[in-house]
Amino acid sequence: MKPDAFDQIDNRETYRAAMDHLSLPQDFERRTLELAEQKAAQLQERQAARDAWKAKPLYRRPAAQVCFALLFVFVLSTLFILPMGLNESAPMATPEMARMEALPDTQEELDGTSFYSAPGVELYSGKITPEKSANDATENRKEFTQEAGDQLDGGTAEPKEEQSALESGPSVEYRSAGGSSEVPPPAARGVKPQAPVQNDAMPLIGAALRLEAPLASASGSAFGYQPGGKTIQFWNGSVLTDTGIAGADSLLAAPDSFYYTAANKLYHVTNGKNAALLRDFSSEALLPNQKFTVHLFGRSGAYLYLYANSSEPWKETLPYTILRVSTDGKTEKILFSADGKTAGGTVSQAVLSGNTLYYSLSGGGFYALNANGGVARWLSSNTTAEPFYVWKNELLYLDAENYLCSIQTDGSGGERLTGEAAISNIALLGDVVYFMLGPDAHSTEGNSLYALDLNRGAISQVWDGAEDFRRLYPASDHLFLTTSDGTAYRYSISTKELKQLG
Amino acid sequence: MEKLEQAFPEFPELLQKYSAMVLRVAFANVKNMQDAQDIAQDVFLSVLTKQPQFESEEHEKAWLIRVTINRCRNHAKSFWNKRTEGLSEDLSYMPKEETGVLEEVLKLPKNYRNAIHLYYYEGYSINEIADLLHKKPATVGTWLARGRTALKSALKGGFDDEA
Repeated sequence: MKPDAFDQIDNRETYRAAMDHLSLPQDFERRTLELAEQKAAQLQERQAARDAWKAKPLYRRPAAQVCFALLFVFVLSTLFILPMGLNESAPMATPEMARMEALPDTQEELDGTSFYSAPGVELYSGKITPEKSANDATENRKEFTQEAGDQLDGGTAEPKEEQSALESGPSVEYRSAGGSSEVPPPAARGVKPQAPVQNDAMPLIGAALRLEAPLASASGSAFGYQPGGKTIQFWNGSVLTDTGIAGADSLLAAPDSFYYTAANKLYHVTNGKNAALLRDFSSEALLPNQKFTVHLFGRSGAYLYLYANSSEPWKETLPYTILRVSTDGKTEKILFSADGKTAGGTVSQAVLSGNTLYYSLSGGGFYALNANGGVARWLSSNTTAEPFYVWKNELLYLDAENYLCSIQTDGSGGERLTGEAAISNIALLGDVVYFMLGPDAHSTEGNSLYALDLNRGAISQVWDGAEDFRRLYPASDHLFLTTSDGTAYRYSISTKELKQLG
Repeated sequence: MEKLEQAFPEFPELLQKYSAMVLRVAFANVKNMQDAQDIAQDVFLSVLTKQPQFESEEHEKAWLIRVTINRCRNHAKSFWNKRTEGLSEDLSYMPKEETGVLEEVLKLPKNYRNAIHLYYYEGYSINEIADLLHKKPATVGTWLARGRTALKSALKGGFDDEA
């Protein structure tokens, strides 16, 4: 159709007419209504589902339940799994270990005397709860060994991890109550060398020892001790004096005097009674944001050596600090501080030997630190009953089963020196280690004092008595011994005489 | 139709009232009655889904036209329509003179077609069309003028108001 054929027609009207004549579908409205009905049904179902969802309590919604489950798992892992994992891997993960560095090999002594004969070395300090001891026993520990000569430095080298099977110790036979020497003495060094120490069994004896441990310290002929809950008794070689001082946290005997700490204050006591305050640490920030307790453990030359433990053991991090102060208490130097985020607990004992401080942690492990300060070096993960001693290049200690053991001061080696478990702590006097053997940890009869000559490897019975000595303390030529009720005795090595103090 | 009555009781009335208008606007855009039906159905279903609150009858009508033009624009943008050529509508049932005018209008560009249809069939002013299409009145006026010019050359007399 040619457009010019409509020249007489109003095109606008024609367009309107064309639009009006458009063939609109007859069933459009019907089909649209059907679609609308379906759509309305869908909308109503959707709205009903939405209303039902809104009506549900929050905890019944699937997404909320998933969130609750995840939160529950997270809380569980935070409370139980992660702390357990950290504890088991603590020796590997501790930042102190990462910063460990080798200590000098030279054992240059500050005052020219060796440790075991040096006067004024605190033999033990701190106490371990029975729960902790049980944990030590039942925990299936991983043994970390380090090859001889290896040293950790810079956090790059790690101790080799071994999961070895438990080795049962040799059978233990005890004497009859009569106290005769029918039972052969335990195997001595060189006679029956034992496998590397495994700390896996129940330390029943060790737990008992730890519970009974009173504060005590010997130096030369002087001996100071504080039976549980009582006042400090001081033996100056001839007279036993009740100092009237109670509540000490640590004690360090010196010839004719002794030092002690109580409530984070350091005192020096002369003449058995005159206590002079040397330093008050209570207002000092030895630990970051935590309350602490100061323990004194050694003296060398013009310095007293102390460590500060957290007194809030329920906290996740247990930092500790090792420091020294001058004997007048006026100057101090922080030797090492550990943030305690992953390391195994507080310092349970520290020993000064020559130019090196050796210390153990309550969660297990021996560490070494230069006496002039620096970075602590991890030696071994072994757990020990207090106290341990340094003899030449060896650390002597009782393991969790209370067997006398030794490791090298560089952390290598490790062997049991005796075939029977001790019922007392050990005391090192010269080249001889003294310890008590008996039927069991609580026996008051049938106990004997034995000596192991470290040079010859021979064990001998040095005293056969019925006393229940539980703590031994070496002095110059004699041993001080205390019973479980706190009674103190003095045993002369040369005359083999035993006398009660006082 | 119980659910529809519960959901939107005014829907049948709305459909009856505006279905022809919506179909014509859609046809003016897509030039195909089948596509126009689909688009018109979408428009009415969107009324059901959104259930807009209309202030007046003019508002209601303008909303439907606006939605229809938008749906036509989306339809033209679709993958299928970009790559296919739709069949031309069979207008043989119309008188010949009407067919000629309608075909010439449908040949115009889309904007011109919309302006011509809304202006000459629906009776909207330029300003109202500008509001509907969200354009400036001058733009709509230009579209109308150009549409008229194109039709004037194609149809004797064209769509001039003065003709």
